[in-house]
Amino acid sequence: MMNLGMFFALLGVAFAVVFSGMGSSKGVGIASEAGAAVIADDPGKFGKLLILQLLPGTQGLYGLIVGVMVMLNIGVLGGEPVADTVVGLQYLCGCLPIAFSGYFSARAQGRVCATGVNLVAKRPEESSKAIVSASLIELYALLGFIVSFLVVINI
Amino acid sequence: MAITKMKRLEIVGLNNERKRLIEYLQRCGVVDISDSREEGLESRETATVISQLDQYMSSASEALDILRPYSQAKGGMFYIRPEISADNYAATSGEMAEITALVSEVIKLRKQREKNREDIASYEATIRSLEPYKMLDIPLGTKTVGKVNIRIGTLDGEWDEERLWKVFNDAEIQDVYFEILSKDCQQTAVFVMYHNDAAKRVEPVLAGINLLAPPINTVGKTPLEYSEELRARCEALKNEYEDGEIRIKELATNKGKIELFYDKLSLRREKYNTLARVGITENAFFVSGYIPEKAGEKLLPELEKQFIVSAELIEPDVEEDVPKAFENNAFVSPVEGITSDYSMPSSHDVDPNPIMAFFYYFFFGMMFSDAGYGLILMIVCGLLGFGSFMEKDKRRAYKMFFFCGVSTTFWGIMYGSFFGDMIATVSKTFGDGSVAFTPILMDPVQKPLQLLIMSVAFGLVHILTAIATKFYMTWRDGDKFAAICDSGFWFVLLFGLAVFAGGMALGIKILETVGLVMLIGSAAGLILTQGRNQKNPIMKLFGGILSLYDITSYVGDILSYSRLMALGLATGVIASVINVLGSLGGDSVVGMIAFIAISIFGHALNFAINMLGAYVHTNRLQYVEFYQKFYEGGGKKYKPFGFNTKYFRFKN
Repeated sequence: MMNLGMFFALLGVAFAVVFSGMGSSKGVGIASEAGAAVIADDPGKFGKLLILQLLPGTQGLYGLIVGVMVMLNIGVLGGEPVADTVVGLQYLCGCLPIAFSGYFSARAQGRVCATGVNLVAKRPEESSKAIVSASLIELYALLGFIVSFLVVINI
Repeated sequence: MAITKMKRLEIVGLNNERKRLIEYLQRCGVVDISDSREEGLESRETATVISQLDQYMSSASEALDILRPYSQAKGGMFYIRPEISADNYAATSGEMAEITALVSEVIKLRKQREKNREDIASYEATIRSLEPYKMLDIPLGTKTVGKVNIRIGTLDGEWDEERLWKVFNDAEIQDVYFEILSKDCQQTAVFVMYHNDAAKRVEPVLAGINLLAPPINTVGKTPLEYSEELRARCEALKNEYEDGEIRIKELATNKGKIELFYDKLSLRREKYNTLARVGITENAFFVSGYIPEKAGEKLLPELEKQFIVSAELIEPDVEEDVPKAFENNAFVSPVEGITSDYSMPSSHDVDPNPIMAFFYYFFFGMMFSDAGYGLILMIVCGLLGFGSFMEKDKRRAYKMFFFCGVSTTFWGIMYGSFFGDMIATVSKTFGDGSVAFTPILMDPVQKPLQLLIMSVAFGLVHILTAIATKFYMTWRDGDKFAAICDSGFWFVLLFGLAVFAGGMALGIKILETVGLVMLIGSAAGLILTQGRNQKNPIMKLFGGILSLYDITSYVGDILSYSRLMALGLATGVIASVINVLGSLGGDSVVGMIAFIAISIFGHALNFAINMLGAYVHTNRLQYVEFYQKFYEGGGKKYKPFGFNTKYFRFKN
């Protein structure tokens, strides 16, 4: 039986997965475009650049984890179906942090990675600095993920 | 276990031995030679020789690029470069001539083949554009025969005789002859003939329907004859093109020779580069450089035995920018690369690697945290790092990941994760569900809050270690007061904060009180001392109070360790999702095949992404949270003058 609570919980799942996924797609896209240009000149840099290209991809995974955790709790993959609207809204709220922090951090990280790609193109030996710069942004996605996770698991 | 102790080596000798001595030093490969020009000495100009060598080298590498597709591919991570005796590392003049000829032949062949290809393409284009005119039995480009004018060309679109006649009839022209040579829906080739007298009337009509003459002259031959001739030429060029390839294939067997030649030139280039750094006077020369103490003590007697020189080892000044190298045991040395990627230590720094190594492996394991993934990492990287599949220099990173794998396995067991919950899932799907891998410490998904607290606690330990190291460094440098005020108080304050929080959480009053006393005491200490560089007493107090604001950055740093929890969770949860997806097929043969397929693909993906995450975030924790607290960096890396080559290894 589908009630409004179930709808909101699933809306939350959609938010978590869709927004963080959108951000990651955008981020990986930006970084990979920059990467492809460099690889055209020097295919040997592919390995080093791959890391930078993949970094904005993690946000999508965090969204997926939160989405799956909700599904495990609301009777889609396990657990009990949501009983009332308030609980459904709680799940929806729980999904918002990773949805938004994931979306914006992945996009910003994509841009940092793209500049990082240029850095690696000019000075391959400094690639670890480019990677660390990108990880500065990742923290905020992680914070959103932690809060989402804690909320979802405690409802 | 420390930063290698360096000495400065100074050699003074006679000019006639200069070159031989530099060659000897190159073979020893232990001295990082400084530039004597910086000390105001004259030196020999070698820029012309070097630029000449550069030219040879760039031709050689161009030739190697051309030959690469034609010889068996060597390279990749498992390629071990062949060893070669260093005794004849200088290219002889005969070799020089032979290889230079070889190289220029290869480059010439490539250029010739490129030209062949271009010519073939242009002839083929001409042949194609002659196609519409092949019915014509006079040469293209014929304009007049006697008093008859001839126009050959194409019209846009499909024309037939009727349509063309209509155009002429409209202009009231009868005295014209034409033939449609060929037509398709896009264009029609026509041949038009008219008498000189009619030219004035016909030509405007032809211009009106836009008759365009083809830009080809078949030089007195009919289009058919001409295209036959071009085909023959193409054939010849194709043969030449193929012959060129055969010749290049033959030459490709000499690739090894060119590679050796390239290496020899690069060694010579390095030698001349170094020769330019040697100071000279009319009769004598002066070399100075840095050398690890132990190597120096071995080298010195050898130098004095083989050359008429005066050489001595000097203790460098404290202020000197001595190049740095690390010397650590097998457990610590793999992470040296991580530190040198950040920065080499300054003269004030202690070697951070021994402390960092432990935390590095520990945190990596906590974030990757899966016994299955850890075992794979351990086995693969253990083989690569400690086996002899690779050259020694390339093995270091794999050794590091081996230790990371050990830690990952440990944390996987602590968290009860073996490819996520694979054991439980398999048992549930294909058996009676009685078997499961029970966590020893905690299941992260069940107790995320405890995990978060644990992560932050480890973070606090990490940061306190950094502050303690800073304390030690300042104390050692003699500024004991600053050590206590700048590092000591902060250490006590953060420690007090932890004790206080622990007391509150566990409800132990004593701890709470002790923590509070530590907090207040150290905060008072900070307020009183942090403004000590200000002259104005009010500013002193103000500076002290303001310094407490730094607490936000410490708290921020400590909270940043929550990533240990987040990434640990991510590995386990994604792995479990993969297992859930895999088990959807149920308990059947098809289900089992689906499970195996989904598991292999999914876990491979999860392994790659989470290992990347663990690596990146461990680095970040070391660089941003740890090194910022005490490590100055900015030192120069020790780069000994020696045999740095691309294709071969030169051994003494």
